[in-house]
Parts: sequence; C-alpha cells; structure tokens
Amino acid sequence: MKKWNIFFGLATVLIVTTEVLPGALGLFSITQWGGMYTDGWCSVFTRSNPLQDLGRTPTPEETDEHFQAPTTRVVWSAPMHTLESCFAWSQSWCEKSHRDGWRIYHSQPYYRQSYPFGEQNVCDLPRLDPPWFIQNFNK
Amino acid sequence: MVYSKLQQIVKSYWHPDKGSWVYVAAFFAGLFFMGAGTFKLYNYFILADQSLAGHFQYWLDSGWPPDWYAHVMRFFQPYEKPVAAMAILLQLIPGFMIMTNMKTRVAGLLLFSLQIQVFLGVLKHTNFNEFVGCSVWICLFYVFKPQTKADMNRQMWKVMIFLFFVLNCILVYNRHNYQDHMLLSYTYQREQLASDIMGTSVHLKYFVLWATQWSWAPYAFASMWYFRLALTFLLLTRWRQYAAAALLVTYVSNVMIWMNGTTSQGVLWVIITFVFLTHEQHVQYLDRGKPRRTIVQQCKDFYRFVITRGKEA
Repeated sequence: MKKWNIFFGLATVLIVTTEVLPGALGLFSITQWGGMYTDGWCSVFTRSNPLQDLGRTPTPEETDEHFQAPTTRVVWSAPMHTLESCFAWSQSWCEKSHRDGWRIYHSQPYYRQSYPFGEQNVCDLPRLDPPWFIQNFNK
Repeated sequence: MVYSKLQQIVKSYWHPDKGSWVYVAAFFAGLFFMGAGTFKLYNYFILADQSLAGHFQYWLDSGWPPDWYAHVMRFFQPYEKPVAAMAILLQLIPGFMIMTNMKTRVAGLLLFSLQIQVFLGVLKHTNFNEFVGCSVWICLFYVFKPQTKADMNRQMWKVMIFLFFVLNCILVYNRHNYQDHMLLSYTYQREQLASDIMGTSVHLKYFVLWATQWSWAPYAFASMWYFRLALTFLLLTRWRQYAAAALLVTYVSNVMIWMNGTTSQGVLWVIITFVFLTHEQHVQYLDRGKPRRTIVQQCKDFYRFVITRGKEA
C-alpha cells in the first residue's frame, strides 16, 4: 500500500504542477486543461524585408508568405496556441531561410482573427531565450 | 505535538479502506469538466468569436455523425446560444458536483447526457471515438460508483475494465495510423517537436531534443508503440494495475513533452487512467484476501459473464 501511496502522491504532484497550475509555478502555461478547438488560431505573415508599411504591395524583389501553424506534419493533434506562444512561434521565423531561398526579416502574428501586435514587426522585439520553437530544424 | 496531531487528522481521513485516492481522482475529473465548461463559456459567450453552430456544421460537413443524429444536430443549429448555454451548464455543474463528491451519480448521469451527444456527433472519427469515449467512460464510472463508498459492484467494474481496454485499443490503433510503430516516424515527430510543440517547460523540450539525437533514438520512438500495445493487453490480466501505472507514466510524459500537441485529449487520458488506476488499486486492496485466478480462468469468467448477461461470473 505504501508504494502505491508514493506513486499516487507523485502522480498528483505532477498533474497539479504540470497540468493544472503550470502558469502559477513558472512553467509554460497554455489553455489546454479542458480546452479544444484552438488549432488554426495562430498564423504568421512574413516578408523578405523589414517593411513598416504592410499595406504596400511588395515589389518584385520582395516576397511575402503566410504560414499557418503548424507547418510540420501533425504527430498528435494540430498544436494549439495561446497569444504568448503564438508570439513566440512568430518570432521563431525571424531571419530563417524560407524554402524558396529568401530570408524572413518581418514577421507579424495573426491570432484569433486579429493582429494582436498591430503592425509591429516581432523580429524587432526582444527575443525569448532559449527560444520555444526552432524552425528549419532538420535542414 | 503539532506533528502527531496532524498525523492523527490525516490518518482519520486518509485511509485505504475509504479509497482516499479515488476521491483525489474525482477532484481532477470534476476539475477537467469544469475547465471544459469554462473554456466554452469564454469562447461562446465572453469573447464570442467561436460558434457552436459552426462547430456543428464542421462535424456535419465532415460526415462524422450518423444520418439520424445529423438531423438532430441540424434541428438544434438555429438555437445556438441556448444549446451552448445548456452544454456549458451540463459540464460546469456536474463537474463541480464530482469535484466535491456531491451527488456524484446524478452528476455522472447529467454529464453522460451531454457527452453521449458529443460522442454521436463525431461517431465516425476514430480520434474522437477515443477522446470523447474517455469522457463517456468517466461519466459511466461516476454513474455506477456509489457516492459514499469508493467501492463498486465487481461485475460492473469488470465491464468498465473492458471498456477501458477498448479505449486503449482505439488509442493504439490511432497511433498506428500516425505510424508510431515505424522507425520513419522518428524524423517527422522530432521535427514537429522542435518547430511547433511546447511542453511544460522549454528546458524539458531541449532536454528531449538533446536526448533523442543519438542513433538509438528512432528505435526508442518506435518501441513506445509496442510497449503501449503490450500494456494495453495486460489490462485484461491480474497485473492490470501495474500496466495502468505504466500507461499513466506514458500519458503524463506525453502531456509534459507535447502539451500543446496532445491538447485536452492528452489531459483526458491522464485523468481517465488516474481514475481507473486509483479505483483498481482500491478494489485490489479490498479483495486482497481473495485467491488470485489465472488469465485463462479470468477469460472464462469474462466469457460466462457476457453470455449470461452479467448474471454469472
């Protein structure tokens, strides 16, 4: 009985710290406890140069592309995002090479049908260290 | 003095005979449904950028409900807000009741009335069969478990064990569809882990990426599926509590590493396994004096139980 008490105690501590209250304990927090229908909420608009005027039509030398999260093959369910993880995911694209060879210098997250950071280029904002997401991992 | 007093209080409330861990599991199960209800409240009414009718339409367009139930869903689509409010109440209230061990059989029945409809709405999707099936199992568990005792009718518990086994089989089947059992899955799984997945802690993610860079890693990835398959079949034997404990470790690890990828489905697997394991351990504690039977005997008993429709085991 004692060994089961220890096992259940450890399981309880793990469930509380990593699933019920991760945010309160300084771990990554996401609305995953009982949350659903959150895939497809985060995407990112990228551009090959750090433009301020996003409304302007790109010149032939400039390229832009919209990435919908996830960009990799789904392993479990399509990963969901909170606003902060969407911001981190958007930042993870900064200065990465696009598959067509151009580099991304402008990244703008789009979350739940709105631009939470306006026209701000998240590549200009302080980076999270270590970064949560790593793009072009196998390349 | 204070320590011994504290020890006395704990001992008076925390006793294996009372199935204390079963109530801890109930707390988590209730909390999960309250979380699901709160999440819907936020999406459908507070932020209101999601629509229940839209979700119904997605299920209908995907061809998931059976034809007769599709008519029911179409009938309720125009009454989106009242139906959404009802769904929220049917998760929040019973969730609170289960969490606080208050009229849990009534709570289980109320929750079942909602979850079985979700189950029908996504009937033809095996991922949802597994996911929503877990929530239906939890509802049935609280319907059949007496509120004041952690105990349950042994024959009914056998049925619940078999249903839990079926759910794990569906999970193994679904993971087979994601090619978990093949070495080639390693590359794309690791790539998604790096690019799109966030776990409990960023440092845990970096540790997993570091630990899986060696040549044996693909074998470790693929072997997990076979390990899970073996544990699933062990659920039908007298070692089921050890199998369920090992499964719980895999489910908790999954959530910790793949948190935003396993979503609430991963959490539900943790909850259902915790509910199952705490109850199974409690049953084994109560039946500790009874002679143990072989697997063949157990299979025969189960066969007899099925053909006599539960009258004899």
